Amino acid sequence: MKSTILLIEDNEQNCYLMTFLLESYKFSVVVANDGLTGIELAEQIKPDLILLDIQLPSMDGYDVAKSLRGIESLQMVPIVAVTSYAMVGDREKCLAAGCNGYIEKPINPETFVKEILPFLPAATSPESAI
Amino acid sequence: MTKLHQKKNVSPNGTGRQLAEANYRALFEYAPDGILIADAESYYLDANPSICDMLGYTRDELIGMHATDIVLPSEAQHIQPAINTIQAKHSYLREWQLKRKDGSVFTAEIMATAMPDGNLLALVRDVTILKQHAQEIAQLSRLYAALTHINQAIIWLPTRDELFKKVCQILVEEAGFDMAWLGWHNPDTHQLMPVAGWGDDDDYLNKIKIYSDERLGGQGPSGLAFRSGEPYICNNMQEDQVTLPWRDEIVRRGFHSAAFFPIRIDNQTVGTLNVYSTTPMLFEDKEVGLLAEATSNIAFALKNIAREEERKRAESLANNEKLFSDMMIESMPGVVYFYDHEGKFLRWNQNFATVSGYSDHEIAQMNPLDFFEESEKASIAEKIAEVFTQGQAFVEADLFTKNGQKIPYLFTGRNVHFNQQPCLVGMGIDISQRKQVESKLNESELKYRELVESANSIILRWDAEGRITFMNQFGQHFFGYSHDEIIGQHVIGTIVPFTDSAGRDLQDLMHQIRLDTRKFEQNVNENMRRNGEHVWIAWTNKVVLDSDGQLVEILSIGTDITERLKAEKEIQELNTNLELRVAERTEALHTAMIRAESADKIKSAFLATMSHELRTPLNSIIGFTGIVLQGMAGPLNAEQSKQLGMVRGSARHLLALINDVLDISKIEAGQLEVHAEPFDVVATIEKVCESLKPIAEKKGLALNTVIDSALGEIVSDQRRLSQILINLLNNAIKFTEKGSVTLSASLISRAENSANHPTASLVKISIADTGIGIKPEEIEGLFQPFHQIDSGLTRLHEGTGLGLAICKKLLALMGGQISVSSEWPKGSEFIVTLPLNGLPKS
Repeated sequence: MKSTILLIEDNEQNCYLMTFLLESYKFSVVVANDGLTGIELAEQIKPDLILLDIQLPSMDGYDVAKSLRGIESLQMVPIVAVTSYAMVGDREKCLAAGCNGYIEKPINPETFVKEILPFLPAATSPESAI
Repeated sequence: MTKLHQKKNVSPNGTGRQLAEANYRALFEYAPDGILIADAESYYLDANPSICDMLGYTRDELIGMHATDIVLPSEAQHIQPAINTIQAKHSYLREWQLKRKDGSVFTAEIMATAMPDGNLLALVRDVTILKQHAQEIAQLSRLYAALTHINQAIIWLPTRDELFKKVCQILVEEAGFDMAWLGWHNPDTHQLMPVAGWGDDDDYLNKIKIYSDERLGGQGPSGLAFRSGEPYICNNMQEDQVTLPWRDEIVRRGFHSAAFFPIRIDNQTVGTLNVYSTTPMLFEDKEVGLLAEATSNIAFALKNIAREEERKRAESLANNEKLFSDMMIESMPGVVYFYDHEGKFLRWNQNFATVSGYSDHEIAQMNPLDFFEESEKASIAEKIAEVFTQGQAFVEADLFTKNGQKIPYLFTGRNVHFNQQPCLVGMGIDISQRKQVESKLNESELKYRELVESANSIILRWDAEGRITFMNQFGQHFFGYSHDEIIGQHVIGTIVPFTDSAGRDLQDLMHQIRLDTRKFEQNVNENMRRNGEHVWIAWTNKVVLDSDGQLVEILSIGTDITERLKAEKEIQELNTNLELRVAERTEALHTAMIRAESADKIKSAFLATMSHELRTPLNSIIGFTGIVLQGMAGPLNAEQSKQLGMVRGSARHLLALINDVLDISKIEAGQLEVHAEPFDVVATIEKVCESLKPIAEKKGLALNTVIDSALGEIVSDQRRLSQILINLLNNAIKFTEKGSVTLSASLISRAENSANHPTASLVKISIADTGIGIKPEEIEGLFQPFHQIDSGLTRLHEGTGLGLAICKKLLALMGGQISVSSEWPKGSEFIVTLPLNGLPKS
């Protein structure tokens, strides 16, 4: 069974890039272009992992993470922030908002999937892809 | 005794022998002398009635008694020698002390002879009376002799005490009394003081206290004699009632008779002469008469002595008086002179000679005017004349001394009459000191006057009425009045306007000042100049009160503060302006600060945006190039791969550049913080090396690691250490064409540690390569931003030129250091040291 990854990302190119990469590794990817949509989708599809951009329109990633953590059914879903905020404290802010991991943009397409794998439940790992 | 006038032929009765017998018998029986007949051993055979009467024994009692029974035992030893003498037919006559039956003793003259039968015949005559008479005569003659000596003493002895002593001595040693003393009356204590005595062997006189009045000590014979003025005679002293208090002493001394004579001068008793004797019943009329005469002679002598003493006293008093006046004149502090109306000096003191410098002889020849300078002589002569006409005068003038010195003197003169002549007596006092003080005082006064007159303040005195009594020149000039114009004027209407500019009645204010000056010790008043100009003056007022506490006058010192007030007002206005301006500037500054703060915020926001906005497109570029290069989007030919590789390289370089610029900016803005958390330094190093190994291997370089087994967990910033190591390793790989890059990590123990961190061990990480190395001249600028060695190499070795600068700055933040050593062109070694336990706490 394919692992479902919810990608909350407003930048079209980045969405495409990450979706391409993840799908290349046989993940099922659902994309939301803003936070609220992302939260709705997450509730609906119960993804195995959420990749969350921080710089989002209307509701930023920190608030999205906090909201997601406020939803009981989603409390166990790992969230990894993928952000180009590389300033001091950005990583800490993400973790404090409820994220489990933090990957800096720009992503390295050669190592990106390897970096998110530790956050996925073992049963869902598409081992064949590694 | 029967006196026979003529021989009478009587015919005896009986036969002649019988008659003779009878006659002898009668003779024996009626003889007035005592007759004792004793045997050769002096036992009495017979005694006539006379001897019986004498001794108090009967005839029968005496017969059979021995001579020793009737003589005093002390004379018994003389009995046998007497018998021997009598028997040797020698005539015998001797006085014996005989003892009567009743024990009494009397003196008897005994004439004895030895009779033919060997018996002894003694004729005994009682000579007591005879003896007494002889004694009396001897006593009287002694008294006469004594009186003569006393009279001699009176003539020769000049003082009372000597006379008294001599009198007592004569009375004892020559007149035969046992003790004599003279009591002298002290009117204050009423005591008869023993002033002289003789024969007082055991200090009796100093023990007794005799008084002249009627107290107990005055009831004795001396006291009685003193008070009565008559002699008191005690012929049986041990029985006399008046001597009772002294009885023990009298008995002890064995006194029996005493006589006490008052010494009277001009009908007044001044003392007593007292004589004592162990002989009883001594003082008969003759003795008393003689002693009374002696006493009156003594009194006469005393009178003479007193008169002589008085004369001497008067003489010495006169002498003293002269000495006194001489001394007084001589020791006068000034000069003393006495001259007659012709100017002849009669008397002067030594000081006059000393001060003037003239000798006594010279002064005697001089005229008073000779002691003054020529110019003063006329006025002095006038003054001298004034003394003789007016009685007295004084003058201050300089004494002109012999050596030409002039000493200021105050001379006085008084007219006196001496030897019916008008004279001048006077004295002069040196007043140079006073003159000096006066001149100093004048100077001082002048000084203060100048001070007051030329003070740059108004100095004013005004009386209780408000009238000006003094105004200094400054004040006169200031207000525009002359001295004569202002003195005596009322302050109101002259220097004080009737009303001030606020319309206040200043007359009332002046009144208040006078009422309560203390309240107005300091005040600022509106005053007025003569030209009507109003001025403001700050006054200090000091009140002068009389002894009743009534206001006498007020001393006021004023300073014109009109200009000052004006200036103050201007300053106040200026201050107000200034405050406004300061407020404006503060506002502006505040705005600027807000602006600056927001600029800072903008800068931070800019950096954040830069970071984000630049990374986002790079994400696509790098991401997609990577995907395409991996062939995930389809196969590529060699040229395509090569070119896309160049795109990816450029993108990565751009990303590195962005990261470095951001890092440098953050460090310089103080926004970069380093963490101090424990982590495994070995794992970190291995991870970094692992990540760079592919690059090294791609160039055919060996990337070696030599890690000290002692290393483990350290406290520092893991990310930053990784960044530094990646940077250094990247550089090493970049600048090395062949050979190897070696990372060595070791622990520097405390022993090897430098003094900089005495308590912390260090981690030393060395990255050595076998590359081209660095030229010595380039080492200096190596850690500067945007520096890359030999710009010509830039293309060959891509880099931002910020790496080493960032490393150095990061290490400084982490408490570490970086250094380099290089041998061109053989390679370089970069050495990083880090504290093992994080940043040392400062």
